Amino acid sequence: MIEIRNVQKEFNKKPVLRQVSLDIPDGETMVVIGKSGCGKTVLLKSIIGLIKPDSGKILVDGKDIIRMKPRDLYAVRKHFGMLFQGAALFDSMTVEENVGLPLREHTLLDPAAIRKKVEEKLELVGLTNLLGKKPSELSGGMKKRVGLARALAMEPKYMLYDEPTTGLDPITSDTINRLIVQMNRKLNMTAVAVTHDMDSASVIGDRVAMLHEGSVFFNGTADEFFKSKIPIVRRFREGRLEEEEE
Amino acid sequence: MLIVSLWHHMGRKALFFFREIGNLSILFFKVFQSTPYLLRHRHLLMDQMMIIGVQSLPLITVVSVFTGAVSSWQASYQFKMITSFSTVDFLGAGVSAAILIELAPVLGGIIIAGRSGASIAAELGTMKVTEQIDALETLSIDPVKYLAGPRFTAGWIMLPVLVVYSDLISHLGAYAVAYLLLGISTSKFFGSVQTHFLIYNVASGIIKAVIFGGGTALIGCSIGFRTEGGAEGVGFATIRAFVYSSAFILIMDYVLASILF
Repeated sequence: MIEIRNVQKEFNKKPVLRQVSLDIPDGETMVVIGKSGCGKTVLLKSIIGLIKPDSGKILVDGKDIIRMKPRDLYAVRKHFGMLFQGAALFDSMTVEENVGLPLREHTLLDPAAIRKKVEEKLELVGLTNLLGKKPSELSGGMKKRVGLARALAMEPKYMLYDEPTTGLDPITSDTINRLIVQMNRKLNMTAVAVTHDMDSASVIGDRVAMLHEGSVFFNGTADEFFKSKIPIVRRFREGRLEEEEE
Repeated sequence: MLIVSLWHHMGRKALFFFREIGNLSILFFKVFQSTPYLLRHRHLLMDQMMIIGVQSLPLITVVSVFTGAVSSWQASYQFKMITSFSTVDFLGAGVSAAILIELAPVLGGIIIAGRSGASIAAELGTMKVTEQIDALETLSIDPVKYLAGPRFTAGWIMLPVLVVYSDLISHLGAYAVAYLLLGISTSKFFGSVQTHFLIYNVASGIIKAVIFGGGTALIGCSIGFRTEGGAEGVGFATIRAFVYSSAFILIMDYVLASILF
């Protein structure tokens, strides 16, 4: 379980996260939505220790990662996978090397076993015959899938998705969304997804938290979110600037 | 008012300078700690030794040949200006000492600063702005161990090798000019080199190269890891890496010269 308690973060004296508290129970997918620049990615990166909050606690299985020593933090991160907005594949490596990197670093598997695992993970995300390709030879959707395969390589307990469908066409977005749902269920992962794509939120989210001006403005089930009549929630959901007269 | 503003500006620059020194010192300490990791991941070191060392050979060869050649020509010209005696007996010795002590390590260092230091900053800077460094962190791989360690170690190992190679090639360049254009025989030229040869001169060049090579790679890594601001930021990082590395080499050259000689 991931517990976020009163997390605050400022950049250049500008508050980005204000007293954010959220619980992500095991096996659930929490979608965090909000306007661009509201602190969604900062929150996501704080959960995995890439950004250190100024105050508050982030408990992963009861351990506060904010006050952890680097060595312990690296140990905790082995239970996490993260899909980045731009996939963040290593340019200098092939698809096989990208997906196999965590296995080479953290396991004693021989090269043949690593190759087999890499093929398994790529098959899981619907990719075959791409082992020798470089990231520059892949489309946006393929990069995301390879990024997902790499994040899944160590069979993590927790999965973080940063804007998983940004920059993709609607069909590829839908494929990625369904893949995420499939993976989360199949591997029983606890997931946090940051997005402002409402279709994505409706497909992958068990719960939805909305950040507004750095605070949690709404926190409920996906059903509650999509039925909510709170003006700010409705406007965001429907993509309208102001409340229109009915 | 102007004086206050000037002091303010100087104060900020001084703080910036000490912050940079602090960043470099912390990175050096972390890289040093990562040595056991590097011993287990020798392929990472080998890759960087190829890039920093072997792939620099063509450039080092060209620069060394012409450095030796111009040294020979200029030395002959200056000897003629300051003395009426024959320069035949001293040309080889003079050029050789200049190559071993100064020219090969400093020019080799500047080449590595331009070719490898800037390239390290650009590569790591691009990785930073495209979240590849964050991706390494999320995969529980320490970027300092995985990226900086091999580059720093390859820098301090390979520059001395390149400098020794440059010493040899520069001597050949100097000899070619001496023999073909200045009419100095092979035996006279190399006899002069041999008579005044000191192994200490070679050792001092190697000591300088170890410090220049490690420093240049460390500066490239430090700047690369802190790159921000997309493609423009990567461009600035590349320039900064070259400027800082060059300044480091020239300043350290003076410091080491005053300690070693």
